Amino acid sequence: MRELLRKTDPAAGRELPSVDRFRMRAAIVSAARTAPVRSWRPYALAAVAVASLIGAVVLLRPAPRTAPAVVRIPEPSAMPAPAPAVAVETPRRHPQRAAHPRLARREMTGPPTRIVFTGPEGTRILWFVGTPDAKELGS
Amino acid sequence: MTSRALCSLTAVSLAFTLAPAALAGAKTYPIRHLQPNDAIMALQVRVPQLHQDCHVTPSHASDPRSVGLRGVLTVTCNEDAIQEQIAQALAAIDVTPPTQRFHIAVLTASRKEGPVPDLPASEAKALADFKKVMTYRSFEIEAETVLQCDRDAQTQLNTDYALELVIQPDTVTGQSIDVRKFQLRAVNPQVAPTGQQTYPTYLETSFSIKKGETIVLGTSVTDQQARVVLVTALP
Repeated sequence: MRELLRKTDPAAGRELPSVDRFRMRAAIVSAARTAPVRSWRPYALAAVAVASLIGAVVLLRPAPRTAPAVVRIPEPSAMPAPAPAVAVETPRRHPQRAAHPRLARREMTGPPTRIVFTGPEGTRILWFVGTPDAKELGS
Repeated sequence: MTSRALCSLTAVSLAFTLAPAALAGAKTYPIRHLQPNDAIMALQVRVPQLHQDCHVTPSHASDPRSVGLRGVLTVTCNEDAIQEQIAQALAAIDVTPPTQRFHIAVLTASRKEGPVPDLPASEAKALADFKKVMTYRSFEIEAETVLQCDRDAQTQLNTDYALELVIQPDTVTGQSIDVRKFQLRAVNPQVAPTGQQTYPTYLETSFSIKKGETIVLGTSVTDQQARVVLVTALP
């Protein structure tokens, strides 16, 4: 750009003082410096980098995950260590307990069962069975 | 200056003239049984002028049981005749609520043969009826008390039991009493199987009982013993 500007110097064929000629050329050169540099090279480099990154991800990701699955699925009995962990199902039991915490507490600390019956002479009897020991009933 | 002095003197004299009349209209009434706001509502029904000619300010006691008052009503009226009506109306409506009396006996029941304690006729009959249904043969009184309450009561039976009784005063109609809460619990801490000290609640229930009736409450303690509570609504 600078070479083109020097070649097409508008003050080349004119008689000008050296100071004005210097100012004019300095203005042309500075205009050439501040002009935005637009080039396709950075964009091309960025596009190539992104493409290579995507390609690497696509090519490398299926390889480590599909291979163990193919090995484990046809041989469930050949994996004694993971089998008990699945059978215990601790993660499944945990949500069930969290979903009914109040029900569990009521079962543990709830009031005893009240049985109301009437004696032969009409006396009302309220019997509380807090424990499974209810042998006296019906005796 | 002279006119201003005359005006101020007139205003002061008017104030002194009217102040005794205004103070004479203010009177304070103690409210012993009703809630002060409820007393105002009841007064408005009996004294219609209260709403127009009087200004009533209720004050609530922070500790009614210690003070012996639920609060006071400060009433300012234009006429002394209204104050007399208010006093008469309050004497009629702010009365002691009806109370209920209960005899409560805690017994230890055993399957072994043994003595039966001397009890009032209604309770002895209830216990005999209980013996026909259950296989407990002997009884021993652990503790007993008589409770009188209009709404709720708490007491201690011997050194072992704490009793809380809450009745619904609105449902004391005729001969039936609605016992909203009957709770018998331990006074002393007991060691649970887990090692923690707890205050176990032996019985907690609600029931309705007629005056003169005896209800038997109970629960087994061991294979051979039970805790039986006789609740009698005294007539």
